[in-house]
Amino acid sequence: MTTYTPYLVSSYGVAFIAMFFLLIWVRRQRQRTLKRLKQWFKRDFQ
Amino acid sequence: MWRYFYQFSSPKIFYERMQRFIPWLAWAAALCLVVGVIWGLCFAPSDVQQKDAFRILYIHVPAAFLSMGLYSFMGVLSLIYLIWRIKLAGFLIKMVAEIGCLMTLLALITGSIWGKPMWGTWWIWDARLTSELILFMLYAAILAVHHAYPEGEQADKLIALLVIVGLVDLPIIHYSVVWWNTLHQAQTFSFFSKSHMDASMLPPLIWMLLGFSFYSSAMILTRAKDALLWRERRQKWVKSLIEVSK
Repeated sequence: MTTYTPYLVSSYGVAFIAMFFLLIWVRRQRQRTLKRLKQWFKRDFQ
Repeated sequence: MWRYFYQFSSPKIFYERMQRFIPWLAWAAALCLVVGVIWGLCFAPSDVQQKDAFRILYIHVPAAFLSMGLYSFMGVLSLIYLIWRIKLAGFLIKMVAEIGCLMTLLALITGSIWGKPMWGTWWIWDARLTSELILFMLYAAILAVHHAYPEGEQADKLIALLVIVGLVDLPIIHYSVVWWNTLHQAQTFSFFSKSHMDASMLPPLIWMLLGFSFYSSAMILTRAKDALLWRERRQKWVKSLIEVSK
């Protein structure tokens, strides 16, 4: 543990948490698109 | 070879190729980031003046590099869209903007965290910092236009024009440390000239640069692939694809 450890932890932490959330958001968007498409086709056929 | 690249303008071919390509990109990104972080935090020697705080640059530099790199890519896409009317290019701009916006925000935040122990302040209205903040605002403006306008060619054209106008900020960011006497240090790493960084500190930076680039590409292509599916929903190939996935 040095004087700079909190700065290192916060910078790496912020970056990787942001990248992780982006990954989750992208995956959710994918599922949302597929769901929307299925509903759209269902409505189209009815 | 040209034929191979030209085929990418077809949404169906683009979708099929990306479906196979994205997992490779994602694994490459994970590998590069793990190697880069371990090497950067555990094995790279600490700096004489900055001590361990210099290790923040292994995150800050790739984020800043991509914030500008992705904007340049958006500029190329805008030109392709406006000159050759390739719809896929206009459509990709918005996907690149989402990731570019995050990278710019990361560059600003990590730079600020580095600035506190090194400069004694979180923020200063320095030329480099201010021009990077303007880049973030440009990304935000592009995303705002994208959300304000319904999908279609008019929105794509407006976004492409906005991107081209914003390109003027890139040379300002790059040369800000040369044109003005700034607190931000001059360029220490370059692909084309001798680097001012010690050779033992360089490999983790290259791994992190590769990792961030692969990660951004995987995210952009995944977003593009899904948005493309929705945009092309009236096409037969999308219908058959959804039927197969049921």
